[in-house]
Amino acid sequence: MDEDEHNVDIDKLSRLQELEIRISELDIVHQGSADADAVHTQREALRAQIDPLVLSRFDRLRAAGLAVAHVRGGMCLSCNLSIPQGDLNRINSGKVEPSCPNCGSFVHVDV
Amino acid sequence: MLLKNFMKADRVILGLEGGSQEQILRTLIAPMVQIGTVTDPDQMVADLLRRESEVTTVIDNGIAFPHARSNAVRALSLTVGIAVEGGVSFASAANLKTPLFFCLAIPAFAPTAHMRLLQSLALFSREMNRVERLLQSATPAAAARYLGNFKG
Repeated sequence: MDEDEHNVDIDKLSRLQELEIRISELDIVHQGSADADAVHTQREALRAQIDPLVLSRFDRLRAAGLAVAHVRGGMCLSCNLSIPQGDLNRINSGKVEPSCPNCGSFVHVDV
Repeated sequence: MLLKNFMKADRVILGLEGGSQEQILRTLIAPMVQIGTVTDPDQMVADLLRRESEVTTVIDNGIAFPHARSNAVRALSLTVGIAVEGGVSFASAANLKTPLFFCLAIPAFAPTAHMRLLQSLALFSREMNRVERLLQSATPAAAARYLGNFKG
C-alpha cells in the first residue's frame, strides 16, 4: 500500500477485538444473559467508526483467530515470525499501516 | 487434564475473608505474584477492577470469575479462592455472597489463551454438587487435586 494512505486506527481495532473476546467470555460465563447487551451495543458503535475495508479485513482475520497481535522483541505473536526492523520503524513512525508483513495481522508494537 | 496443568496447592487459598473488592482481588493475585506470572500487582488489580466495573463476573450461584488481560501478566495463570463459610460480598450489584473465586490472569499478548480454561471452570461451576465438594476441601492440596481431576 502507499505510504501515508492507511486508515488503520490500531487502538480502535484493539478495542473492537477486546469487545469481541469479552462477548465470548460472557457467553461462556453467563450463558447469554442480558449482561452482554451493553457490550454488543459498544461493539456495534465502534464498528460504525471503522473504515469498511479495514473492518472487512479485520473480520476475515478474526474468523481465523486474532486480528490484532502484539509485537514483542521484533516478533509478531500471531505468526511468531520476525518483522524486519525497517518495517517496524515505518510502523512506529506511522508511515505504513501497522500490520505484519508475514501473516497480515494488524499489529500493536509493544514498547 | 487442562485444569490439572493449572492446579497446584500453592494456587489455592482457603478461608478467603471478606473486604473490599480490591482487597479480595489483591489476595487472589498474591500467589501469581509469588510465582512470578504477575509482575505488577497494582496494575493487575487495576485491570481486574476495571473489568469488574464494566460487567460483573459473578454468576447466578454467586461464584465469581474475576479475569483480565493485562500487560502485567507474563503467563496465563489461575488462582482458586475458597471463601470463609457463608461466602463473602464481592459484587455490590449482586445480592449474593460469593463462596468461590476463579481468578484468571491473562497476558495481553495472548488475549484468548484462557478460553478453554474458562470453559472448563464454567462447566465445573454449573454442577453444585461439584462446587460443594470443592468448598469442603480440607487443604489446598486436596482442592487442587479435586479440581485438577475434573474432566471438563
